[in-house]
Amino acid sequence: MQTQQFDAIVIGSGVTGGWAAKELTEKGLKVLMLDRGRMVEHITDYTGEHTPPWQVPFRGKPLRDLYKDEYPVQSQQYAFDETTRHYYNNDKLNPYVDQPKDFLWFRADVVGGKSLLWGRQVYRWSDLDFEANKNDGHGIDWPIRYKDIAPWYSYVEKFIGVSGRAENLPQLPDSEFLPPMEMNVVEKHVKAKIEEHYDDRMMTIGRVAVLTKPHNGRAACHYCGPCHRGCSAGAYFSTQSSTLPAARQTGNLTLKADCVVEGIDYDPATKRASGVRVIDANTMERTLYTGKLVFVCASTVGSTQILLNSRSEQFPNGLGNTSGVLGHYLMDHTYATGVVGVYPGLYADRVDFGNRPNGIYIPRFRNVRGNDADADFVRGYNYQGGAMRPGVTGQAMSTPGFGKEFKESLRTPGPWLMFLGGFGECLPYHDNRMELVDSKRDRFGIPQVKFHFSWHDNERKIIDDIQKQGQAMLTAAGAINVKSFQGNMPGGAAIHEMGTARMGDDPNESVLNRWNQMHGVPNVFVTDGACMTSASCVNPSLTFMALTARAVDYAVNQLQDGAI
Amino acid sequence: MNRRELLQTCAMLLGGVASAAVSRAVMAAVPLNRGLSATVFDPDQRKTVELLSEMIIPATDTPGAMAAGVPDFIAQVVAEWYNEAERAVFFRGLKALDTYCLAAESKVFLAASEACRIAALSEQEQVLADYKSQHTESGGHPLAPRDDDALPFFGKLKELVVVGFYTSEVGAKEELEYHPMPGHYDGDVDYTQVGRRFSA
Repeated sequence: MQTQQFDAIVIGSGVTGGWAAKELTEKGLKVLMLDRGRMVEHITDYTGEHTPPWQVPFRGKPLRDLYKDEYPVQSQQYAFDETTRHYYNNDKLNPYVDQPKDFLWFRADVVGGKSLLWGRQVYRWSDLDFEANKNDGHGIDWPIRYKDIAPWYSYVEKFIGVSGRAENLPQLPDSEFLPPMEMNVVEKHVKAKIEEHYDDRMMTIGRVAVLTKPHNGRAACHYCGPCHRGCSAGAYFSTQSSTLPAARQTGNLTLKADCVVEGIDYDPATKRASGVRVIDANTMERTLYTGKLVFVCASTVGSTQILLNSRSEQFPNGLGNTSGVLGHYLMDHTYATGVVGVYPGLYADRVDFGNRPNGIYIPRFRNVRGNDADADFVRGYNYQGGAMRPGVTGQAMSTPGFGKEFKESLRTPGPWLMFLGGFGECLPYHDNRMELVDSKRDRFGIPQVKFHFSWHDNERKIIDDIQKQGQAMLTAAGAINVKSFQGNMPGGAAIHEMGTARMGDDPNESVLNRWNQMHGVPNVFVTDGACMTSASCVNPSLTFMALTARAVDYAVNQLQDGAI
Repeated sequence: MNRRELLQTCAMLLGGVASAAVSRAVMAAVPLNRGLSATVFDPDQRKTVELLSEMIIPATDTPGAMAAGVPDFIAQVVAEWYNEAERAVFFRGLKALDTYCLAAESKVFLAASEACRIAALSEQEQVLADYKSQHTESGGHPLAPRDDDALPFFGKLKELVVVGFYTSEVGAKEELEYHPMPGHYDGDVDYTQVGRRFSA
C-alpha cells in the first residue's frame, strides 16, 4: 500500500465531480479527481463522432447477441449504439444483482461519466419543489430553499452557457440565458393553439446546456447530432468540454482514471474521513489516498455504494449512516409516457433543416397553485417533445408498393407528427432503495448493488393524467389520430435516479446537512443525485451542479476557518 | 476510405477495447471478415437478391439499390446478423418467388418475364399485409424497435433494401440531401426549394 496527500479528493469525474474539481482547484487546493472508468480526452477520443451511416456496423442494426451477453442493461439506453458503446459500462464485467430486473442502472465507464451522454436539458427548481415534502408530508423537509441556491444557479449557468427563453414562470425560474433555439413551424402552431385554448399552461423551447453563441472558448452548436457521440466543438456541457479544462488550467489537478474506489476510511480520533481506498481497474493494485476533504460525486448509485461499503466500528452500516436512511428513498422520474398526433396537410410544404439537439417544453401546470380540484394526485409533471416529419425508413415501411413510384414518393416527407412525452415526479418511499449484497462480490471484491423499486399509486395517477391531458391538448391543437402510449418504464428508465443519501436538518433522518456535508463526518460532502431529498419532475442536473459549487464554497471556507 | 474513416470503423468494430489509443494501435492488424457474407447466397440466389433490390429501389434519375451496394449489405445481414429463424424465412421467401413463377410461366423467378416477377413480389407483399392485419401492436412507445423473427419475407427484404439504400454513401449523397454538418437550425424551410428529404 502506498500513501499520498492531497487537499481534496473528488470521487467521480462526471457532472458533479468535474464541477467539484474545477471549484476546488480554482480556490487553490491541490485536488485528486478519481474515476473508475478509462480516460476519454476531449476531441481525440470521440471515436464515434461524425461517423456516416454507411460506416456504422450493420448500418445501425443492434449487435443483438453481444448486447444481450455484455450490455443487457446499457443496450436499453436510447443513446447506446456502436458509435457510443465505448463509453458505457460493460454489464457482464461489472454487474449488479438480478440485472436488469427491478431497476435500470444506466452508467458510463469513462472519465466524464454521463456528462458525455446526457440529454443536456437544464432547468431551475423552484420552491414548489423545495417545499413539496413539507406541504404534503411525503419525505422530510428540504433543509434549503430556492433563495439558498438561486445565486449558485446563476453562477453555474454563466460558466456552462444555457440556451433558452425567459418566461417569468414562478414554478420554473429563468436561467441566465444565451439566445434560445428556434421552434419549427408546427411547434409554433401547436404552442399557439394550446395557449389559445388553455389559460393555465404554455409551451416554451427547451432549456439546454448547448451553446447558441461562442462561450468561454467553446464553439456554438453546429446542429450535427447526435451529441452523445462526443462534440469536438465543445458546444454542449460535459466534463471534457467545460470543467476539466478549467481545472487543468489551475495546475492544481491530478486526474487518475481506472481507479475504482472501494471505500472511504474513517478515523475516530479526528472524527474525519482519513482516506480513500482505491483499486486499479487494470492491475488490481491497491492504493490509499489521503486528503483533507472528500467530495463524493460518483453518481447517485455509485456514491451510495461507496458509502455503504465504508464500514467501520463507528459506522457499521456505512459511512454517515447513523440514521439508517442511507440507501433508502431512491427516486426517479416516470418515463416513456406520452401522446402523439398527426397533422395531415398542415405545413405540407415546410420542412426543418439541421439536427436540433433540443425539443419543446411544457412546464408543469398541475397542482402549481395548491392542489387542483380535479387532480387525484399530488405533485406533477412536465412535457418534453417536438414536431417532426417521419424518417425515410419508417415512411418506407408504411408505404405500400415498390419501384419507381415508391422511390419517388419517399422524396416527399410524410405528414408532421407532434410528440409530447411526460416526466412525472416520484415520491420518496422508504421501500424504494438500494443495498449491497455481501455474498455477491464484483471482480474487485466489492459487494454488488441490489435494487428494490416500484412505482406507487401517485405515480400511476400521474401517468394517467399525462396521457389524458396530453390527448386533450393535442386534440385541441388540431391534431388527429391522437394516440397515447406507455413504453417500458422500470425505475431508472428516465436516468434521473436520485436519493439514497438525502439532505435534511435532522441527523436522525438524513445523511447530509444543508451544505451537502455528511452529518458527523464534516470533511465529507456528497453533491450528486444521491443527496436529493425529493425528485421534483424537473430535470435535476443543473441543481446538482449548483449544489456542488455551493458546497465547495462552504467546504473551503470551513477549511480555511479551521472548522474542518 | 481515408485514414480517419478507417480508424473510426475499426475502433468501433473493436468496441470494448480498453482505450481508443489501444484500439487504434491494434486495428491495423484486424481484417474485416467478409467470408460468411460472400457464400451465404449461391450464384442464382445472389442474382435474385440483386434483381429484387433493384425492383424495390430502381435506378431512376438517381442511382438505385445496385449502385448503392444494397445486395452486399443484404448478404452481410443474412449471413452475419440474422438468427436461424430469420434466415429460414428469407430463404423460404426466395423459394416462394420461384414457386409462383414456375406455376405462372413454368420458369424460375430469374428467367420469368418482368410482369411475372412483379406479380410474384406483389404476392409476397400481400402475405406481409395479411400478417400485419393479424398482428397489430399497440400501446408501446411508437419509436421502440420491434424485432419479429416471423415477420414475412417481404417485410424483411423491404427493410433491408430501404435501410441499405438510404444509409449507403450513394443513397445518402445522391438521393437524399446529405448535410453532415448543417451549421444552423431552420425550423421553416420551403420544401419546394429543396425537393428532396434531408438525411438524418
